[in-house]
Amino acid sequence: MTTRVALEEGLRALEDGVVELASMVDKAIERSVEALKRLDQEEAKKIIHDDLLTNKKRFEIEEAAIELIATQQPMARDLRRIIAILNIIVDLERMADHAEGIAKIVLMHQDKPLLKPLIDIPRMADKARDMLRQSIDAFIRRDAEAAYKIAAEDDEVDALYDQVYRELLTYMLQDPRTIDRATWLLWVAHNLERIADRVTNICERVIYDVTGRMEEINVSKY
Amino acid sequence: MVEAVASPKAVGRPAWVRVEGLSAWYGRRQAIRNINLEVAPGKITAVIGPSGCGKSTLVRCINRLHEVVPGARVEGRVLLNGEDIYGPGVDPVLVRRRVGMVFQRPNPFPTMSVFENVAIGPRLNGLAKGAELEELVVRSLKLAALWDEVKDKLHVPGTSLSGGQQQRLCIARALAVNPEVLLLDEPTTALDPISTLKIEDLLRQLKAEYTIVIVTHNMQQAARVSDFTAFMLAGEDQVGELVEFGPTRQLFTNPKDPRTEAYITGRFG
Amino acid sequence: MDGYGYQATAHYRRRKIVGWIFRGLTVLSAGLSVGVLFAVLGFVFLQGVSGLDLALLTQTPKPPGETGGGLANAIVGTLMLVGLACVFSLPVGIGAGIYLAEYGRSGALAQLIRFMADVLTGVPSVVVGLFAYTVLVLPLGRFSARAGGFALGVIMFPTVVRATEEMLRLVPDSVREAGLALGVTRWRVTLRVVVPAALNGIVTGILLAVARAAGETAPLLFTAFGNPFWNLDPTQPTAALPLQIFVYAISPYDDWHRQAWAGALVLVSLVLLASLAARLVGSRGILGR
Repeated sequence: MTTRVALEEGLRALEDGVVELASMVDKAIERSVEALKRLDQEEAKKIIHDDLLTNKKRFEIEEAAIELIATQQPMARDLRRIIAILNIIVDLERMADHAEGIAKIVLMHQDKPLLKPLIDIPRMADKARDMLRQSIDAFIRRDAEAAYKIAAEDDEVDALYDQVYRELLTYMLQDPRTIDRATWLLWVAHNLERIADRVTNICERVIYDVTGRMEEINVSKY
Repeated sequence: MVEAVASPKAVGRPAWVRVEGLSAWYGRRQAIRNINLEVAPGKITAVIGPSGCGKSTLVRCINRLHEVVPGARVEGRVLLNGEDIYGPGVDPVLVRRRVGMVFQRPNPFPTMSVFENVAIGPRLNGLAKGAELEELVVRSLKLAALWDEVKDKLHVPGTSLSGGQQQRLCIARALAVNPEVLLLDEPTTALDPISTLKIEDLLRQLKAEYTIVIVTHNMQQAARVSDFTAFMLAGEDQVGELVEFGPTRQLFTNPKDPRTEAYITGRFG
Repeated sequence: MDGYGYQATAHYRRRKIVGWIFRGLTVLSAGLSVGVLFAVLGFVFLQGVSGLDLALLTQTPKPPGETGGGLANAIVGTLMLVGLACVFSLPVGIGAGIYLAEYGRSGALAQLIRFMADVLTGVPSVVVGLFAYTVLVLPLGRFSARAGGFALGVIMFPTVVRATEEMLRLVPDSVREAGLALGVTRWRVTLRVVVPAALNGIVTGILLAVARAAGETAPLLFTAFGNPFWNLDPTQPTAALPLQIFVYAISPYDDWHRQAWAGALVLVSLVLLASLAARLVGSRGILGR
C-alpha cells in the first residue's frame, strides 16, 4: 500500500536519526576509553565539547517525533514505534553523558599516571559497544528475539565490573595512597556498566515496539 | 471480548445490550453476517469500518429500524437487558422507545418549534402533559447542553438553529422519551469541528446514564470518545462481519487482527 | 479582464448577441402571457364593473323581462356548492393521497389508483355531471345542490389526491425515520409529523382545486340546475354563479346581459382570491410560519 507516504517518510527519517545518534554515542565511548588509555587531555576536552552535539541531535529527533505525532495522528504500531524512538534517544543521550563522564576522569588525572594497565575496562567498553550496535540493529529489524538475547549479555558486563571492583579494592587496601586513582578507575567502570544497562532499556523498548507490552528484563544487579 | 457484565435488570439504566449471531438482509442481499457483540452498560462503544461494511445496518437492527425498509429481514438475537427484542410478540414500537437514535444529518421536525420538537415524542407516547411536559422539555434540553442557547427562543422553528445546535436538538428530542440506550449513526459527519467536539463532550457526560453506541468513520473520533471499539469489514462477498472488538485503548495501540491494524494505521488500499 | 484578447473576437461577440436575442425572446413570451391575462381580466372588469351594484350582491333575480334584481343567491349557491364539494372530496382525497405516499408507494394498488386519478382529471366535466345526474338526480327524482356538490367533488378529487401525494413525497424520509425512532407508531408519525410538514403544500393544492371547481358550469346544468330563490337546503336545486351567467348570457334581455358581465366579474374575482390565497399559504404557510 502506498498510503500514508508522509508518515512513512517521517518514520524513516526518525529511524535514520536514531542510527546516527547511536553511532555518535558509539564513537564517544570509543574515543573516551582511548583517551583514558593514553591520558590524552586534549582529546578528553574535545569529547566533552562534542557531547553538546549529541544533545542537540537528540532534541532534533525529539522535535521531529512530536511534529510527526501532531500532524499524522499515528496509531497502533506507528505510534508504538515513535514512542519507542522517543525513549531510546533518552537512553542514548544518557549513554553519551556517561562517555563524557569517562572523559572528565581523564582530565581529573592531570599529570598523574594510570594506576594500572587497563585490561578489563576496555573489555567492558568493547562489550557495551557491541551490545549497543546489536540493540540498534534489532530495533531497525524489529527483532524482539534478538533483544532478549542482547539484554542477557548485560550479565557479562556486570561480571567484568565485579572483577574490576575487586581488583581495585585490593589496590586500595594495600596502599591508601592509590585510593584517588583507584576510585577514578572504578568510576570509569561504573560508567561503562551503566552504559550496558541502558542498552537493556533499549532492548525493552524494542520488545515494546514489536509486542506492545512493556516488560522488565534482566534487572541489573546494581 | 468484554467479560461478564453487571447482572441484568429488566428495565433499567444503564442498559446492557448483547448481539448474538445477528445477520440482516435487504431483500435478497445480505448486509451483515453473524455479528456477536457485547455492549457494555454506561460506556460508549464505537463501531468503525470502511464504507459499506454494514455498521449502520448493525446499529439499525438494535432499535428495529432496519425492518422498516420493505423487504428487510433479520436473523439472530439482540438482547436488551436480557430480553430478546426480536422475540415473538415483541412490539418494535416499544423497543424504539427504549433505544433512541440520532442520525447523520440533523433532522429536526420541519414545521415545529424547538420546544415542540422535544415535546412531540413524549406527547405522542403519552409520557407527560402540561407542566410536567414543560419540565421534561427543559430537562432534556439541559441534558443535551442546548438549554442556555435556546432558552430565550423556544418557539423559533427547530430548523432555524445552526447545524451543531440542530444536532443537539435531535439529541434532546431522543432523550426526551427516556431511552435506555442511545444509538448515534455518524452524528458529527455533517458538522464543523467545534460542534463535533462539543457533541463528543456531551456524549461523555451522558454515558453514565445511557449506554451509547456510536457509528463513526472518523477513527480519531472513535479513539477520542469511546471506551470500546468494534471494527467491521465487508469481505469479498460484500457481507459485513465483525473483525475485532475490544477496549479502545488496546485496539488503537496494539490491535490483534492485522486487518484492524491496516485500517487503523490508514494503510488500507 | 481576460488576458487572451478573447473578448475582442468575433466569436465572443456572436455569443453575446445570441444571448441577448434569446433573452429578448423569453421576456417577450412572458410579457405576452401576462398581457393576455391582463387583457382578459381587464375586459371582464370593464364590461362588468358598470353592472356591479349593491342590488346585484344582495337581491335575488327578478322574473324575466323585469329589470333589476341580483345574483345574491347565486353567489351563496356557489359557496355552498364548493363547500359540499369539499366535504365530498377532501376526506377521501387526502386519505387517498396519504395512502399513496405513505403505504402504497409503488405497489400495484397504488399504481392503479394513480392511474385512475389521472384518467379522472381528463374526463370532461359535462360527463361528470351526467354521472352525477344518473346517480343522484334520477333515482331521487329531483335536482339538488348535493348532486351538484358531488359532481364538483368528483372534479376536485384527483387534484386533491395528487397534491396531497406530491407534497407528502416532498417530506424527506429522514423525518419519518426520526419520528419512528422515537417509538411513535406509524400512523401517528404520518398524521402528527409528516402531514403537518406537508400541510402548506396540501392546502395550496386544495385551494387550486377549489378555484377550478368554482368555475365549472356544465356539470351544474343537470345537477344543481339553478334556482331563482334563496336556497340553503342541499336536497333542493340551487343557483350558482356560472349557471346564472350562462342563462343570462343567452337570454334576449339587456339587463340580464349586464348582470351576466357583473356576475362574471364576481366569479373571476372569487377565483383570483382563491389563487392568491393559495400563493400566500404556499409561501408563508398557514399560521404565518
